[in-house]
Amino acid sequence: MRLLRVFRQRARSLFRGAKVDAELENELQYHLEQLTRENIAQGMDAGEARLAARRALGGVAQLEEQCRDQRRVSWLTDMGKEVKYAWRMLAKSPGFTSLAVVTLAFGVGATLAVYTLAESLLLRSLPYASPQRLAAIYSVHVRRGSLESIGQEDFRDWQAANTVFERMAFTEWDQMTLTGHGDAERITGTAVSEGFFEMLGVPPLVGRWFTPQEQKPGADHVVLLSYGFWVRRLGGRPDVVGSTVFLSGSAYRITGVMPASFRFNEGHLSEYWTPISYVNYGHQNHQYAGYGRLRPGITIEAAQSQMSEIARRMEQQFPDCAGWGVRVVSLRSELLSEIGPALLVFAGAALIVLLVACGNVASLLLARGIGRSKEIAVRMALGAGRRRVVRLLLTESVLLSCLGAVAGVVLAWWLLRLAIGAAPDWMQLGAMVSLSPSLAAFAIILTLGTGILTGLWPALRGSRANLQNDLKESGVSLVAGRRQVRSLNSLVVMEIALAVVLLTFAGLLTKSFAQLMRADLGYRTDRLLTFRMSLPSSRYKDDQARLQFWDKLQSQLGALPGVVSVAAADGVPLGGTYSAGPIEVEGHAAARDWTDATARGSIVTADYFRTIGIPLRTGRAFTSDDTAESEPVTIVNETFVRKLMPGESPLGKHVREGHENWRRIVGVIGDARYSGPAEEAEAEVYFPFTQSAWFQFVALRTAIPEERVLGAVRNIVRKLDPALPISQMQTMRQSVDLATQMPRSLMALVTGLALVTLGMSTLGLGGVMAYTVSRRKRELGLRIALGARRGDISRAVIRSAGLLIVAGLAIGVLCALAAARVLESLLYGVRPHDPLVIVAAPVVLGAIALLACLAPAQGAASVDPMTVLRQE
Amino acid sequence: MPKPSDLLQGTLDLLILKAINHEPLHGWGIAKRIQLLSDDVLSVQQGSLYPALHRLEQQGWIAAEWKETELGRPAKFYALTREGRRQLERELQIWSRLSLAVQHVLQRA
Repeated sequence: MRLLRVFRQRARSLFRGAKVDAELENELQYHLEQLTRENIAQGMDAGEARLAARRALGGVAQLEEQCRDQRRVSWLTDMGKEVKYAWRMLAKSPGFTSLAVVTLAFGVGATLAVYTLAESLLLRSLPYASPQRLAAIYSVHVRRGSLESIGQEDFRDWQAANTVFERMAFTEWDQMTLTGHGDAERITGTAVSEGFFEMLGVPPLVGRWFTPQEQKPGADHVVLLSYGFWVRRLGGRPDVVGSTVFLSGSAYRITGVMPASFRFNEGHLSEYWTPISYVNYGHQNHQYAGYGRLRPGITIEAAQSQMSEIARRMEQQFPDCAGWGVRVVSLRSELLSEIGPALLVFAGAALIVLLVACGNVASLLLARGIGRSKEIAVRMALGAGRRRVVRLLLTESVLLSCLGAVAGVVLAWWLLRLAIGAAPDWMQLGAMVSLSPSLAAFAIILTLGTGILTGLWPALRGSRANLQNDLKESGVSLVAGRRQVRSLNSLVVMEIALAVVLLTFAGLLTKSFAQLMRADLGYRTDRLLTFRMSLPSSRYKDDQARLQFWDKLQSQLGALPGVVSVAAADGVPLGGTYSAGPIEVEGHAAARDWTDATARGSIVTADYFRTIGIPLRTGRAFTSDDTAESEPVTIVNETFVRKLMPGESPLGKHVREGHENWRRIVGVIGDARYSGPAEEAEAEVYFPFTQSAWFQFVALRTAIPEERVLGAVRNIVRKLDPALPISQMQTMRQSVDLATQMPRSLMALVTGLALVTLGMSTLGLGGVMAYTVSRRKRELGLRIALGARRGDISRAVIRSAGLLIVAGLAIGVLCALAAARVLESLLYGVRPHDPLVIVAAPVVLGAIALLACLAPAQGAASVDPMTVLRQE
Repeated sequence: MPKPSDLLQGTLDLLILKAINHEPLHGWGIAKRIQLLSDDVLSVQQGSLYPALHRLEQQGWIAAEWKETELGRPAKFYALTREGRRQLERELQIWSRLSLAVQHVLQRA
């Protein structure tokens, strides 16, 4: 109630100021009248009475001011005046203002974007209750120290023995073909063990989780749908719960739909979840991703030590567990390790841009401040306190930063779009980024902080005016004040140093990306189209049926104009994740530890190597003569020979996968980087399609741009079997681009910011030099009049600029050397202290900076002594 | 620890609140009333009365209204608000405690 009254009073003083002031005058007037009346009653004459009354009351103006001060809104009205004044000053010099606003926009925008990303990742990447208690569980191959998938048997023993996890679950990537609802479609999902949803604690939007009964073999044909899939394919009708969908030819009953906000980041997007039922694959099996929710109060370290203890006991108990340990990793730190280094580099770049922007605007303000010292001296002579002057100047810089922030928000939005595009799809970064109160608070603090950071030093300097000198000098000193110039210089040096750091980063990332692009993939990426398509075993029951289908498909696709060759395989480069299996080579004792002898097996048609562009080194490719009845044959790659049969001649030797038939090696092909340019080739072993008819991918090499055959390819498949879904139809170029999206975007981002910084710092240097020259005009004119040669003058200017540049470069190189380690995990084929980049970055920057000083040097040399000295 | 000026200021506030406890008064009337009730011992510094009134008004203890005086000229009359009445009681208690304490000191020293 009282607060309301107070608020009304303040509002009235603020918005009805004139009326309130009139009332105050009237009130005091009344008092004076009364006093005068009293004085007259005591016998004074009218004039004397009025004077006495005035004396008794004191100065009316001061009294009014005192009363006004009681309203507690003066700071606000004063600020309003200052903002208005600052606005007028900024509007008067539009060049300066727009330069400063754009500069600040870069700094504020980049910083805002980084903060938004970091906040989204930290707060919204794991949308479950107490996400800090969630952990990923891995098997560890102790000798190699590599993290591997876990097996069901191991999991069961861990679950029975541990006391650190409240719940545990495991999942597996899954893909099925949806039929019966319009076009057939290949959809990706996740198979989950009992307890998975309970562990995350996210209830379905409609329906229910799986019951324990439904996690058992025979009853496990049930499915939970993602919100996106439900809306996209089933129209978002709640009554679908309980009905059935056909997945890979079997009927699955829908038990529920997960909410739109539900996601579980496992490297792919899930459109559905199905139960994994128990199958005893033994302790050698490693194929699932394990997770657990820690009991409250249990740390990751405590969980790790107990799990290690359990793993040690199991090593003694089961021979297949020998050499295997277990690793518990916090889910959040795991997610951050995925994108953390890139985010850190982005954050560093943004910080540098912000600092250089602040430095640049600060030097602009400083230079202006020196030019305005006369105006400020006049203000102070008229009674403005130092604090008032500082406030006035700060208002200007804060107003600048506010304008910069508005433009910065636009930039931040654009940068965020770029970052979202660069992050892997399954991370759903876009869904995590949202406006939040903390983001708004950060933006406001950042803006005010930027304004104060840029303005405080110039304001303090500007207000330290020497009244006598400044008024006397009439704004044109013979030489610029040494102290003022020194503060400008140190800002310029700092800007150049920071620009060197960022330019070095950009150089390293660019060189790394170039290396990545130059890496020999082992196959030809141009004019190669691949798509995913597989034959459901329910309708294509045996090899015969599949071979027949492929013959028809191959001849029809091969007959298309522009198609050079066609092949099918159960894996193509960049087509998905691959895992290696145990392999045995003739004449080598079977490895005690199967992980020592592994190769990635792949089934391919005869034309596969020719189509993909993998060269044959020795022997022959598969032919139509390799049939189910002929001798089992295989082809291996060079890495296979190097790793598993070093120093031997591979042709004619026999190898076998697991306990299958021995196969004779008939050819050796070159290495291919199946997982992308940054990954080394693995040992590979190929089997002919004619001896084991199974494929998942089709590849076409074309003589014309791939896009031109897309429609025809789809038509042919649809005509052969309309229930076959086609997915991942893309050119190999697109696949490579997709696989290198992250380094590409990071390079583009950092290079862009580095160029902005380069521009800002050289502009800053040029501006400061030009300013110093203009301040020294009379001195220079005098020198020229006294016989100094013009060449000497411009050389002197360049020399003083050169000193600044060299100082900035030296500091910058040292900082860059220290900071480049951050990039280590992001670089490919380049060391963080790459000599070329470390040298090139400062040289380029130095050259551009010197160029920026040429105009001021020219200006200094062309000073006309007559004009300048006449100004006296 | 209140500064000495705070004490004085607080005293003036108390006197003002007490002066308009029974009926609304304008500034002049308040000054006169304090003078009258204190048997001319306390004469309010004319210069500090109005800032004090405006402060009390801003704080919501008193509310102002323009009314005509008995002579027919409009003047700004101040009246206690409900919160002001409570504030007066609080200040009276503080004051009596304080003056009692001072009295004790003076008697026993």
